[in-house]
Amino acid sequence: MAKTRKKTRAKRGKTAPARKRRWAGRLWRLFLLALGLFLGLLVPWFAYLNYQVTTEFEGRKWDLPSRVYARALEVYPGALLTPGDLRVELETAGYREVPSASQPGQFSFTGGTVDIWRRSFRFQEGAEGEQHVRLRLSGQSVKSVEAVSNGQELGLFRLEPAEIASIYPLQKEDRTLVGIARVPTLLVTGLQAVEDRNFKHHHGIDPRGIARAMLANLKAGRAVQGGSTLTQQLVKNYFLSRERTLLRKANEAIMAVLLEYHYGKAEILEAYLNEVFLGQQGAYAVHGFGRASEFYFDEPVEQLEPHQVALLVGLVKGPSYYNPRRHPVRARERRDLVLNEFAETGLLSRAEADAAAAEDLGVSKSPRTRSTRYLSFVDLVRRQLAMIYAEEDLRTEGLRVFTTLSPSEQEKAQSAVSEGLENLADRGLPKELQAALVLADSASGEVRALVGDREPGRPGFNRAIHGRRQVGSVIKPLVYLLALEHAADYNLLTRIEDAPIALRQPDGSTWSPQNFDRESHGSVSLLEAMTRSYNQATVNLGLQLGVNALVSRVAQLGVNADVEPVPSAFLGAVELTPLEVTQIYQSLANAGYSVPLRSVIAVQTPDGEELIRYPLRLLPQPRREAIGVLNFALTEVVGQGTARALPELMGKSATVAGKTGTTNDRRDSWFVGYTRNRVAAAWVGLDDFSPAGVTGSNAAMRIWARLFRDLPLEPVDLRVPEGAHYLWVDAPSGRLSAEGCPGAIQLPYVEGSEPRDMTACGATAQDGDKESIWKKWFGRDEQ
Amino acid sequence: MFPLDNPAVASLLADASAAEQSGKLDQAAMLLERALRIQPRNPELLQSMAEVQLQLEDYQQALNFSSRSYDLGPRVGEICSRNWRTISVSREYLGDHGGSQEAERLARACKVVKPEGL
Repeated sequence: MAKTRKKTRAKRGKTAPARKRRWAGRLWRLFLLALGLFLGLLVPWFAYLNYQVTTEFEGRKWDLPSRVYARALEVYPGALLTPGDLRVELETAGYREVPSASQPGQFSFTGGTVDIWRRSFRFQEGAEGEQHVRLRLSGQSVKSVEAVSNGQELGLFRLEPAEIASIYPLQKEDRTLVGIARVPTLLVTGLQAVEDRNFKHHHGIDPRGIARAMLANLKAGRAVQGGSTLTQQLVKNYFLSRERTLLRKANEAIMAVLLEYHYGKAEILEAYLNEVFLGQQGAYAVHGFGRASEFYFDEPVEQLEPHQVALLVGLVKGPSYYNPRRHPVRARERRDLVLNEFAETGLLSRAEADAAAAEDLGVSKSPRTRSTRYLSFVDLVRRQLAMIYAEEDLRTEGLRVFTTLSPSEQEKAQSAVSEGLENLADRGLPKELQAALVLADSASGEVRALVGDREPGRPGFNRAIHGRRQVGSVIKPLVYLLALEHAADYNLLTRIEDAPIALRQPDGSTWSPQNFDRESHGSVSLLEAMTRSYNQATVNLGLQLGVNALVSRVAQLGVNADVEPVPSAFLGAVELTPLEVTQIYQSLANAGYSVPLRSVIAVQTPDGEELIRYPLRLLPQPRREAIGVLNFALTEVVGQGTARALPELMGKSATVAGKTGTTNDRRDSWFVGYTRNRVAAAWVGLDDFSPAGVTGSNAAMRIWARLFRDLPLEPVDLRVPEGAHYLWVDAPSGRLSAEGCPGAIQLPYVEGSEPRDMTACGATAQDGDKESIWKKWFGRDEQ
Repeated sequence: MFPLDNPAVASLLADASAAEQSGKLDQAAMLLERALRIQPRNPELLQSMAEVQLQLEDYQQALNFSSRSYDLGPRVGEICSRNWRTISVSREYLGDHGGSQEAERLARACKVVKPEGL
């Protein structure tokens, strides 16, 4: 530039005078100044835009929300599954009921026969293709599963898991990435037909398109068409702010040209498919056709039919104005207009377009991710994931999180709480009562359902995970467990004293616990004291064993809670969460094989690469034979103890084990119990810790019963491990007896704790019947 | 082999054995875990899981799964001796030499179909 200036000066020097020439010279200089300024600014400006386009686009990586999946439902002959539960599972997984299933994502019910056309899905252990199966249900279980194509019996079929939540990026965009090859051709061509017919040929901006738009706008007297190319639209969404200024328009054009210069059409189109804004779900913006397809149709984009493609393409123009859920008439007009353009441009035949226009909008009633419904459970998922992942990764890396949630059981748990509390209010208890419920698989420790608030989906304090409350008598079985572990000193019929206690406290006061009925019951057996939940007997027993033993037993059962080693701990002056209580009882429900409760099974990258897995791990408790004996005693709590109203509340009489808990001044109500396959803890009380008038059996047990009333019930496994066995005994005297003797009952004993004395009847019977007693003890049925 | 009456479990177990034989031990463990969700008290599944854990060199879990299998199983016959063999090997790796020998002795005793007398 300096060179140019020098030249001009030289020129001017040669042909000097005359006004005209001076004027021309001034103008010339002005022009040069302007050119200099222009170039001086423009070149860096171009460079800047170029830099932005290339670096941003090159390193483009959308923040992808993590997807959280429920457990995959396994269906096989003999599986316990009611038609109602199956329907809940299918609907949660986004399946549509139709008269006859004809494509993936559909199911049909005819009597006891269910046709399911499963979508393809990448499960935890690998991808499985789509599959059309026919199930026959009879009553509570699956009778048969067959492939529809060839009628072949299948031993096992599984439904892909429902997506129960997404963990979103902070900028609140929701997106499912799609590759251009996966998208229906009609979507790719149709988008161009409607938005940018010259896309294949232009270089980022389309003068003809602009001219056409201007003409149309002039004719209409208002803006009816935009002349923006897809590239410009992408640039606008991707790089620029939403303001509408001339400068921004210029930037948009320059960047569009630059983008086209650097990248191929397919790359640009793919970015567009994933970037375009297509709707709003609450606080989250739905971007890209992948997510939009799931959001509006509950279907992956690959499976869209022409009328659905047309609707989505039409939405580009104005996702909220043409929102098919809010403005179905407008949306339909727009869709039909788009279908018409498809026909005009030859993408569809006239007949195909007419057929598509005859279809309903086909939009699902509500978006599939009803994340609020599983909010309580997802809290637990986040807590487990927080141990290994930074929040940022969960929000941006598009992780696939496989969890243990059972949608049908979660639904039952939530209604047990919501309806149960309404029922308690009808029965005169406070209307403000709160509750929490945790349901887990007893053998695998997998949490199937979790409720942390009476209102489904209300965010905030999760009582199941964070509600630390005194547990009351729920702790007592551990005192009895400690006793049973001392086989030389205790068995279930050992007598202890239920008598007044006066203990001097460190602060000088006296502690005198009362029984619930304010009476002392004198000499009682361990079994009676536990099933009737006598406080004084439990403290007397506990004092013989030592409170430190209790504190360490709680820790051994997998709960890290601060338990103060004071005698009131024997009566449950111990604060635990419902989740921790469930953990303790899981060990009892699983014959002493503890399994840490889990909500996450595995985490994968978006491509299915495994990042972490939480496998099943058994942590055996010591003295499992004592746990086997305690297991029996806990069924007696339900059989004849404080929980004897339970079978009636459940409307079923299967063998269930459990324990009630009530705290001082009736502030907390607990019930924790288990069957062969499920363990659950329920808590009811007031958030401000004030007296609530609740007891274990009048509140929490009712909620627990509501849940288990609706679950397939398998009776508690009463087998005892090696080191324990059942004996016929005479309960009042605690002596050995025999089958058929008056008053004889069968009780489990830890080896070394057996009674030595025998009733007269028992002695006679046993002499002649050694063989049959052997059978009683060891002729167990397997599995 | 302990009888498997559930076809779903039988097919998962067969897949797990195939995975195990081709060295895909993680895959085998995952399949067994699926089967155990269906029948958590099946001694054959528990023992198979123990044997996979043994190959994964997780001796503690091998020990735990085989002792669970023993607790629930017939405590006689073939599965009983597999239970004790796994326990024996695991204990040896875990440094419990005496326990290992005791388990080996019990594995041999399993052949007796029913212990005599009381």
